[in-house]
Amino acid sequence: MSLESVSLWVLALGGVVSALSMLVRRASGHGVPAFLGLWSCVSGCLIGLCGACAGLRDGDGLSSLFQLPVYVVGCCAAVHAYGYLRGHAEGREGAFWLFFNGMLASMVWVTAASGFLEFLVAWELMGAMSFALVAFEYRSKDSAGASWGYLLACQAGGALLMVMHAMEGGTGAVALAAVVVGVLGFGLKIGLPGLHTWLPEAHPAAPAPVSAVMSGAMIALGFYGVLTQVPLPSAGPGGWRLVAWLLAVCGTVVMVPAVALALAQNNLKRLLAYSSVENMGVVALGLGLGLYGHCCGETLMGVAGIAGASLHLLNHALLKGTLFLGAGSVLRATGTLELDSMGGLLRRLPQTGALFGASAVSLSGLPPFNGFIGEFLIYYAAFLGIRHGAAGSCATAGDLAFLALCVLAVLMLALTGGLAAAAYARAIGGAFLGEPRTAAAASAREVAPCMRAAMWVLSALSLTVMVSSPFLCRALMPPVLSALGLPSSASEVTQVSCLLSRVALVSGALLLVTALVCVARRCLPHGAETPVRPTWDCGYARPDARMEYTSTALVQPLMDYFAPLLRLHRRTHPAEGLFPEHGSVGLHTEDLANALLWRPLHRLTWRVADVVHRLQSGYLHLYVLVMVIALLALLAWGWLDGMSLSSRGGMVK
Amino acid sequence: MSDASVWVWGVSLLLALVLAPLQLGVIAKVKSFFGGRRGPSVLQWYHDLWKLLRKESVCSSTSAGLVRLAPPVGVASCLCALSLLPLGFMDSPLGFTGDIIVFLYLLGIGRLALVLGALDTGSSFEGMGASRELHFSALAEMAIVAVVVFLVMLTHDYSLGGVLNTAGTEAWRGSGTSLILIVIALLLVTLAENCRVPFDDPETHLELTMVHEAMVLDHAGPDLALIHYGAALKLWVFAAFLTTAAVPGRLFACPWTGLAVHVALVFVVSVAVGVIESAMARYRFLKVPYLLLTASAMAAMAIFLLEFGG
Repeated sequence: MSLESVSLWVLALGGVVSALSMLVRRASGHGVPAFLGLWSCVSGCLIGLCGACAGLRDGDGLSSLFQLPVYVVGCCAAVHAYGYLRGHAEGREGAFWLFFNGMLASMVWVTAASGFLEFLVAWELMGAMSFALVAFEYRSKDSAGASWGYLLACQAGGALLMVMHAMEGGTGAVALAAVVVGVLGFGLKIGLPGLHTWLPEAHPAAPAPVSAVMSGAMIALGFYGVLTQVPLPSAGPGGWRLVAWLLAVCGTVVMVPAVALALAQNNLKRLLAYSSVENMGVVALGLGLGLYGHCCGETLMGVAGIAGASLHLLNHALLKGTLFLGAGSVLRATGTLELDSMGGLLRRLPQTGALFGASAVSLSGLPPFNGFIGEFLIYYAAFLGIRHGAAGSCATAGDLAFLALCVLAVLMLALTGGLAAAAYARAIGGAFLGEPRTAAAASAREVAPCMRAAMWVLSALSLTVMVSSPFLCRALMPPVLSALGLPSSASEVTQVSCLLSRVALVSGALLLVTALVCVARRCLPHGAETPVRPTWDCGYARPDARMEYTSTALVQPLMDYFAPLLRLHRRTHPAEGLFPEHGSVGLHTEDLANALLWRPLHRLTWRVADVVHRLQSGYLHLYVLVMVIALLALLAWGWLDGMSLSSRGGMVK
Repeated sequence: MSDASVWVWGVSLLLALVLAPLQLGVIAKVKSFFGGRRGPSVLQWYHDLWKLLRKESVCSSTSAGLVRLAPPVGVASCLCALSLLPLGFMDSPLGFTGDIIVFLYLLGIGRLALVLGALDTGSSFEGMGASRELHFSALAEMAIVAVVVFLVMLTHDYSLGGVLNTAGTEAWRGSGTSLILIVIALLLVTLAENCRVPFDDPETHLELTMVHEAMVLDHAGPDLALIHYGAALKLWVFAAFLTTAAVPGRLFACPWTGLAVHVALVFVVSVAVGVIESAMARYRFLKVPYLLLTASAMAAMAIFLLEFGG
């Protein structure tokens, strides 16, 4: 029995036992079920982690790569959930741990499944378990809509996957259509452009540890599906061409709108959810560039793109895990997720604030943090693509189109970088800096130790990834490339890991120089003395939180650019009269994909349902009639099918 | 890499560290010349920095400490970016393939540190400045990356040294029009990133109209000195980038001539900045983004000309 299946069983059984213990000892409250759930989850994840590390050496590289975030984020989220749920789950802890462990187990099962049918069962189970967790706080206002939207997205994705499977084995256009349908089906989980709308609804509604696992590990499994389940039109690296194009185009298209939407969110978890869409776009772009590089024989570009995507996947899991757990801690400390109702939390929650801030800066892709290294390699792959195109080998229209795509991708990455920095500046500035804007924020206290510990562990792992990225690249790349059926090229992997070591050196140098400047500054004659005075605000004696720039105001100029995309509208109630009592300005935004695609689709569904609904009138004779018509139709179909078969047989004779 | 080139590069780096505040003095001198004044000495900024370094600092009571962290991060990021640049027309011994991306993002971390430092004080003016900085820098970043894409396509290289130094005289002969566009775009980015007229006026005294200056209202003493020194270094970084991209570096047979020309060109940029500041007023805030998008459009046009122009 492999470590992977041991961990799977520990997780599944632990969840069941935890739920049973809740049923048996209803009165025991928080204690027993939470204890059982937590320890089965942590031990299952740790066992699985050992298995995944061993699997990288001598197993399926791809499934090990995608299991790492499941185990790491799952384990830390479980520890966080222990504190997060305390006093907030009213005797439902057993149910939580049943579904939480079940979700982790089904995610492991997805990466371990051997055939398509087994994969589909695991995939649907994963959707069902996470649906139950999204709906866990069913009493809150937003939960119903969010969980139904998520369930619909899961079902639609599953349906597309079945269509893809039915089209498998076709030739010509059918084979290509199967690839497109498959990418769309998995794209619903990843959040490809237009298909992402469930994410910003489901993440804020779910408990924070669940959001962390879903955002860090689950949506990434969509890529695992694309890479393993989509039927390729031909074997060898050339078969990836269409997948590469689809991923690269989707990634390029989705990044900027997603980060613009992130910028516009006042709800911290919605902001993080849109940022997940953006980061999955970056990963898709990296994978697309990497696969295309292998298609056209640019192996270095191929290795750089895939290495960048893999590292960004891991980094995103660690960082977004920390950020969602941090958002959960903030919710417990202040009772709100609205950025404009927080402020000044860094002084009140120093550890949570510092870890959240560092992770947020890291995820905006800036050195010396680990969020930069994946983006660096993806930039590098795009530049290699540009050189490939510009070096005069643009023989076909496809090559020229790819050159244009690479140029566009680099520009979009640059703009995304700038906007992501602004979005996270909004999150950090709005929640943690300045003066508290409400009494709840002013009286916030640091959260329970286990909630902080989970964030510390994830941040420490981020640091480890940053320091060890060259080794990580050398360990990850050969098994991943061979699992993808691509030539595993040692010299290119070495080249890429050398680049990463140079980046790590620059990051180290930046930290060192910063420390030296700080020390030098302290050694100045008056360097150590810092009298504390109120903020200078143009002579006002008592600066007040109402005078601060709100986080919405901070990004409003940038939001104006994307006004059509955000469907931005302003509600202004100007202050009137000589002694105005009220006056307010509000900005309201909405996702364009919702308005253009999903809302009409929902309306259409309702209209069809209304028509079908007439059949459910309660009259028995109507039901019998429908059954008879269905039977006759089936008979006619069978008869026609038999006829055509016999006529074809006759022709053969 | 020969010994001489490392020496030239090292001396250029030292000169950059020492002479960076001089650029501000030169700009002030040029402006006072056009204004018909005698103006302060070109060494005035050295006196100012020295005075600030000996003063004590004041910390806001709202701050959680980020406001103290921002200035060192700003200086350190500029220093690291400078050490990757080819200086004196010699490749940096610390450079590597792909360092151009690291270079751009190093400047990004310095900027974000300053923005977070500004938000840390809770001041409404600093929030305003931070908002504007985020707004303009996102657009300026796209423009400079477009310029970098052009240079990569021109030279088929992606290390800073290769991109900036290998474009020789034949590049000017072959694609001179695109290079002129690129130089203009780079000049616009230089002005925007360093908060000079027409994007921002470093000498304004009205908080409502400030960008960069508004973000540093609560810095005093040594912190303010570090901020000013970091800004001077950043101006040097961009001036060096601009001039190295524009002038074919392989022209100079003797490396030390290259060094002299490099330093002279950096000060030519300072004079140009001074002339621009004397000749025009700053733009309204609403017009600034258009100017930055113009820079991006120029770079995009240069890319088109390069790909399809011949």
